[in-house]
Formats: sequence, C-alpha cells, structure tokens
Amino acid sequence: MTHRTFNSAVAIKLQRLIIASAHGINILAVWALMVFMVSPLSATADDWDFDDLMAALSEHSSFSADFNEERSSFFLSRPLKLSGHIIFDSNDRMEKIVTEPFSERIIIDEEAVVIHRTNEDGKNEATHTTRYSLAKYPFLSKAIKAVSNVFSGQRELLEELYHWQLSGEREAWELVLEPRDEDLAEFITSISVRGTDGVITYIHSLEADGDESSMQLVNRTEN
Amino acid sequence: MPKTSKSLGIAVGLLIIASIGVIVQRFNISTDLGVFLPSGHSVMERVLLSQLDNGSTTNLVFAGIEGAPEKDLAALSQQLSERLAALPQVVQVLNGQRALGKDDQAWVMNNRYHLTPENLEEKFSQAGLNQALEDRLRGLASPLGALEKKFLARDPTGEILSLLDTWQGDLSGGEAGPVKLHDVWFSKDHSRALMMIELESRGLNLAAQEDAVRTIYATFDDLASPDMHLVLSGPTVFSVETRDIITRDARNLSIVATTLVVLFLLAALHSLRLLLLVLVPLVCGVVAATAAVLLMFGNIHGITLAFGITLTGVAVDYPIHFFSHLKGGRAQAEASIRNIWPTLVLGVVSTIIAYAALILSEFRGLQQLGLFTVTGLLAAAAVTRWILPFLIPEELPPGRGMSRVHRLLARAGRLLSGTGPWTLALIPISLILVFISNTPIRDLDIDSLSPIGQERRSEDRTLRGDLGFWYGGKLAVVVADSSEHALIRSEALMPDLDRLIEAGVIKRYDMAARFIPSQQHQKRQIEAIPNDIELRHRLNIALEGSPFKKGVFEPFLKDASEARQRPLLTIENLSDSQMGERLKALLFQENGLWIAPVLLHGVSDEKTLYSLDHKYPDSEVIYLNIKGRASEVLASALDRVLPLLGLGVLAIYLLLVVSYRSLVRPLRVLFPTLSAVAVTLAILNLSGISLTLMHIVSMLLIIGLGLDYALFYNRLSDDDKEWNTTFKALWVSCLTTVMVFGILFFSKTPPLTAIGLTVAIGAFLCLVFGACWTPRRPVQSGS
Repeated sequence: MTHRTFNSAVAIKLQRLIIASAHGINILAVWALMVFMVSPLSATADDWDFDDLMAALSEHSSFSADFNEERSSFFLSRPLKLSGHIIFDSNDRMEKIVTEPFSERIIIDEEAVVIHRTNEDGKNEATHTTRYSLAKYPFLSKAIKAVSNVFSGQRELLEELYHWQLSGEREAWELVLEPRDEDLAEFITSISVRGTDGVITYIHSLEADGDESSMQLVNRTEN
Repeated sequence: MPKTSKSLGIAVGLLIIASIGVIVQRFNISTDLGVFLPSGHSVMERVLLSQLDNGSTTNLVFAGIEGAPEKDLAALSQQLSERLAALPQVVQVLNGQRALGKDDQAWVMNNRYHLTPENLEEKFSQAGLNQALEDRLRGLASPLGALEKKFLARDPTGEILSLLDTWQGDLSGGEAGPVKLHDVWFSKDHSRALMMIELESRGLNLAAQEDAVRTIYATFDDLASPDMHLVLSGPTVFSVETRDIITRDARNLSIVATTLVVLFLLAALHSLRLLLLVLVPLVCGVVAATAAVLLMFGNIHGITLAFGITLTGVAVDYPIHFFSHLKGGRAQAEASIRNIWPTLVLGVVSTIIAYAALILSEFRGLQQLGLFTVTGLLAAAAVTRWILPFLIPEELPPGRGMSRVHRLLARAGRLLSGTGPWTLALIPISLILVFISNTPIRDLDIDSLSPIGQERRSEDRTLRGDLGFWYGGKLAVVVADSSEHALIRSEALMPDLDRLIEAGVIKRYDMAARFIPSQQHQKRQIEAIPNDIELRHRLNIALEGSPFKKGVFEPFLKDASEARQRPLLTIENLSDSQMGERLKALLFQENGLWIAPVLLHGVSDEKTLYSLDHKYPDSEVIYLNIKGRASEVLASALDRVLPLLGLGVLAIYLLLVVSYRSLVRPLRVLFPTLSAVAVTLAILNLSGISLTLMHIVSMLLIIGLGLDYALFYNRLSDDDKEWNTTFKALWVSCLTTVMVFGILFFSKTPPLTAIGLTVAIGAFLCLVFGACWTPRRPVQSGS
C-alpha cells in the first residue's frame, strides 16, 4: 500500500478562481476524473503508485464505455438510475449520452458545456439545446484543461485541488480524492475511483449536502 | 481730421468697450456637437440629438487595465474600484464584483413571476408543471447539478436562473458580456481587466469631467505597478481628449504661426507699431462678434469661436491695404483710408453676403457662425476706418520693406496679366475632374468633425465589445405617451426582433421591457398562477410517479401564493432603487414623452430594420441609425446651404454691377474667386480628400479672401501705379494667410489640417488668378 500526500507548489490563483465560482464544479470534477481514469493502464512494474497511474493514463486518451449511474439526493424519495454511453476523444472533447430514463446528450469541449435535451412528449420529439459558455464560467474551462494536463502527464492542477490517497494493488485499487480548499469542500466531500488493472470500473462521489452518485463503467472500447 | 470721423471713431470705440462688457458678463462656451446639426423638428430628431449631445452613455467611462498577469490585474481592479467608488464625482463602479447585491438578488427572486418573460399560463398548467419537474430531474443529474439544486425547491419552473442572468448581465446579458476571472470582469482573451465607471450627473461641465478623468488616471497611477496600463474610453473621456488635443495643437501651432507672421510682417511693413496695429481691427472684430453671438444665442460654441476667428481673419487684410497706401505719418492717414475705403466697403459687403448664407442655414452652430463673421467683419472694417487712423504714428519711417521681393512678385504678376479668360477653362476642367474621380465629394461622417483618431475609436469599440456594451449608432426607438404604453409597444416588438435574430439581421438587443414588463403583462402573468388549492392539486399530480419527495416543493407553493398578493411593478416605483437607476438609460421621459430605446447589437442588414417603423395611436416605433441619420440630416442641410451660396454670388454680382455701373467688370471680380474655389476643390479631391463641414467652411473663407483680393486687383485696372501699393498689400496679405493656414496643415487634428490645407491652397490661388485678370500692360520695373 502506498500512502503519499503531495504538497506541490500551490497556485493560489487557480484555487481562488475555482472557489469563487464553484457552481457545478463537483460534478464536473467527478466527470473529468472519471473520464481520464477509464483509460487503459499498461504499466507493468510491481511497484504500483500514483506516478504509474498517471503515467499510464497519459498513454491512451481515446475510448468509449457504457455506464450505469445511481444518484441519490435529498430531493428524491428514491435514487435516480441513469444509463448510457460515454465517449472521450482526444483531450478536448467529452460526450455523455444518457439513454435511460430520458434522452440527453452532454458535450464538453474547450469552449462550452452543451446540453441537448430530447423531450418525448407523446408523438412530438423536440430537442432543446442549452449552451453554457466556458468563457462565462472560466472555472469550467480550467477544470477541463486540467483533464488535458492529466492526460499529458501534468498533474499539477489535480494536486492543487485535491488531497489524494491511493490504496490497494494493481488488480484492485482505489483512489480517494478530497478537496484541499474549504470553499471547494462546501460542494464536495470526496470522490473515490476504483479500478482493476488499469480499467476504471467504479466512481463514487459524495457531495457536501449528502447527495451521492455511484457509477459503474462496463464494455469499454478503445477508439 | 474731420469731426464726423472723430465722433464715429468714439462711437465705434464705445461699442467695442460695451462688447467687452457683454463678454465679461455673459461668456458661456458650449461644446456639444449637436448645434452643428439642424435644430430638430420631429421627436425622432430630438432623440437623435439627445443621444448625440447627452446620450444615455455620456456619463459612462469604459476602462481596461492591461500589462500584468491576470491575478494582479484582478487585484488592481478591486482596489481601483473601491477607491474610485469613494470619489464624489463617481456614482458607481462596475467591475464584475457584486454585479447584483444580495438585496437586489432577493428582489429579483421575490418578483420573479412579475418579471419573467416566460408564459406563466403554460408554465403553471398541468403539462407545464409535469415538464418542469422532468427538467429539474434532468438538471439534477447533469454536470451542472449544483447550480440546479440552489433554487430547486423554490423555483421548479426555473425562472430565477435566467432572470439573474439577465439582471447580472448589466443591461447587456447573455454570452456577449465580459468574462469573469478572479471575481472581476475580463476581456475575452483575458488580457484586460474591465470596468465601467459611472460619473456624477449628465450635466457635468467640461471642467468637472476633465477633473474626474484626471482623477481616475491619478488614482490608477497611485495603485498600479509601472508595467500596467490603463485604457479609458467613452464620451466623457473623448470630450476631454478633444479639448486637450485642440488646446495643445492650437498652442504649439499658434506659437510657430505668430513668430513667422510677426517676422514676415515686420520685414514687409518695417514698423513694429504698424505690425501691432494690423491686429487691432481683427481683435476688435472678434470681441464685437463674440458679444453679438452671446447676446443673440446666450452662449457661443467652441467651434463657432474657432471658425469665427478663422473667417474673420480676412480682416487682417484691411489694415494691410491701408498701410500699403499710407504715404506719410498720421497727417496723411485720413486721406489714405479714404482712398481705399470704397474698395474696402465693397469687399466687406460682398464677403458679408457670402457669409450670410450661413445665417440662413438650419444649423444652429452655423447661424452663430454667420452672425459672428458678419458682425466681426463690420466691426473690423469700422475700426480700420474710424479708429486706426488715430493710432498711426506721427512720422513713419520712409523705408519700404521687402522691395526686392515686391519687384520680383510684381514682375511675375504682370506676366500673368491678361491671361484671365484662359483661366476660366480651369473651372469646367476642375469640375469634370472632380466628377470623374473616385473620391466622394463630400464626407458626411460626423466623426470627421472630431479630432479623436480612428485608433482611439476602435479602442473604444473593443472595450465596449468586451463589456458587451452597445457600440452606439443603431437602435430602434419606441416613443409613447406613457411608460406603460412604451413597455407594451416594446413587448409587442419582441417577437419581430427575435425573428430578426433568427434571420441573422441582428445579434441581440437590449430593451427596458426585457427587465420590467408592462403592468398589463404582469397582470396577465399573475392571473395565470392558480390559487393555492388548485396549484397544490396540480403539483401533486405532477409528482405522481416522479422520484421527487412529496414535501420538497413547499417553498414553491408559498412563493407562488405570495406572488399573487404582490403589487405590480412600475418604472416609477422603482426609480429610487438601484434597479431603477439601471433602467433609466432604457426608459426615460423627455419633453413629456416616454422614450424606450431598443439597443441593437451586431446589425448586419440595415434595410430590413426600417420595416420596424410604425405609427400607433399611442406610440411610435422608429429605426434609427444615429450616424447615418446625422449624415443624412447634414447632407440635406448642406444641400440647402449650396443654393443659398449661389444666390449669394448672384447678389454680389448685382452689388458690383450697381457699384461699377458695368455688367462685365464685376465678372473680373467674381471669376478669379470662382476659379480658385473650383481648382482648390479639384486639388483636394484628386489628393483623395472628401469635403467635410470643415472644408466647406474653409471654402467660404476662400470666397471672402478671393473677393477682397479681386476688388483690390481691380484698382490696378484704373491706375497702373497701384501695382506699388495695392499689389504689395495683396501679396503681403495673401502670404500671411498662406503662412498661418499652411502651419495648421501640420496639425495632428484632422479638422485643423483640413482648414489649413484648404485655405492655404485657396488663398494662394486667389492671388494668382486675381493677377491673371489684371489688364495686360507692358512690363515695367516695379519701383
């Protein structure tokens, strides 16, 4: 078991930025992490540590997978079950396609988060598109760039935002992330990611208000 | 000296003294460019003028801070905004921090059903509520879930987020607004921290504005590191800069011009006393003219004063003519002035006739200018005739300066004698050249009147663009008899405007009705909210089979119930709040009418927009392109000035016919002047210069100078000896004028350059063409 906490040079600038306008950052961070961690791991060394994990993730960056997600919330009497497909192609574009219980396509690229919602109202099918410009929400932009940084082996951004703990071994590991900053912690308590031999199988997030999300990833294919 | 001359001299002197009294008591200079547009008749023109003079953005200063890392810029933006907000001249500073305070946010939330542009009848229907819960569920599961959760329980129909977006966009809204980094506004490329500074009251005078702008710069210098740079723009900043530029230019150039002219005149007149006396009629003329304008109009425009002094500059020629004919000392003065007086009077009267076209124009500014020049010339002539002779020294040195130059020029002039008829061909040639050239004859862009350069203008556009602020220029105006009607009509316009956005004609628009709907609309919306029992019933149906907990939406039921009790919002009961303050620019009262501008952004197809124009019983919608409209107004007014000038020329001809008792001889006076104007026009046009208002006023001065020169040249026809006196006066006057205006050409201010170039060329041509129309005689030696 490796247990190490990184205290890299903290760029206060970035933290302030994220803290200042942290709407939605928690979910996005989960999303970003989930995406980069689904990449295959090709490390062969027995000494399995964070460096290996990051290095391995940076090697492959294009894939797709099916997901099953369960969200529980203070507002809901029973958890919401979502399923669909996730595509990550290259560093700057991610796509989450929800097929159940409703149809929705979420695209995140360098410029915006775009949500296409399809309402099946009887015979009429209307797609409503909402665009959240990253230029207006620069913290989203930074978070997305952070993912790119992780893929290219630069983990500074991740380490600025979170304390991390890696446990287990190559065949069954778990990475637990906790926000470094109080203000970020107002939104998110922890994110844990589990994988087997480099394939991420499960992501769980606990939000500060007690809401939770757990997601299983299956049928992963390289693109 | 005759008694009448003496008493007339005293009378003229008293008038000048009285004028000084008027100036001391009433001097009031105005600077708004609106007076150089015709006085508006219609409501539309009034709005146009008010936008130009005193528009809703006049007291805004746009600021950009650059030259340092984002973090440092943001920190400075915060410090600077705190310091500036504390200044007495500053109403508020907007830099992205607290775009909407907590109280204001609460106000928007509480009044959301009154404010929302959405159709509440649909939203509160069973289908609408079903849809709302579905949308909230999806939102909760999306990457933006945290945003959704914030207002979920209170606002399942989702009004708050879009309203806050509208209101926090600071009257621009949407994605067009600035980017937010480190809590403050930044340009889209993150290189500049942005701010909007609202200065105290619209009626701020220029001195106070200047003070405010300097204080902003000083405060910045106090806080910033040396590599940081502050860019300011906006109407206030530009008017301060305009004054700076003109003042600096005028000072530098006038020092050079004065030095040159003094040296030149000293060489020509050989007497310091005479040199100083040359200026007496001009100064007295300007004093009398200023007093007359102040008495008639209550104030004098800066441009009137500058142009007026320019046009009155012809008056420098009067004493020069006088002194050139002066044989001895004071004893001969009366005789000398009597000798040239008839010619001088003809010159003054014909110049006045030419300038009178200005008085009859529709521009308030040009009317002032007309009155100024007419009074100025009359006074200057009177002073030359009745005061100057008393000021001539008892004895004059016999020397005659620059005699060699004079001989040379006289010889050249005589070579040209008799070629006049040939030069007539230049008029049609010039006009044909102008007609076939690619350069447009007129430049009606009102920006050409301003010394603010293109570079600063584009900087202003960039800053406004980054702030998502309207560039100015293109808008639709709703004019109505009440604020309610203005809002109703604006609302009715929204579907049309939305269609125009879809069609790509405009990018977006701002209007008051987007922020505060009409009471009629609010009433309809509130009536669409079902009563407590019915709403609970519908909500319960929507919740059936939904994963949402049963009691989650209690806050929503409470808010909806309260909304039905809330009073309707009006612009009047908002006016004291900060919200109302923001709306003032978009809905205001003027001359008893309510005016709601619809600011149009990104206009690509202007013609379609004219289809918005409509007249209704209680209101009117007009599409306005301020610059375009101003140009049109300018063009039509100029078109009316030109025939007046034609009539003026005819009147001058008739005057000369009567005076010379000849039909042909007056042509010798008119032709050289007309040729000079035509050739000047051709030279400017072929150099790629289109005529602005400045050039056209300068052309008037050329006519004035040309008539004066030609009349004196005409004396040469009667008496060959006049080459020694009259011709000397002519070339001395002319070269003085060319020198003064030639130096203006080196100004950094486009309007001054325009005047300088035009007058320098024109004056010289007047001298040349005048010589051409002198009768041919054998060339004699000049002495």
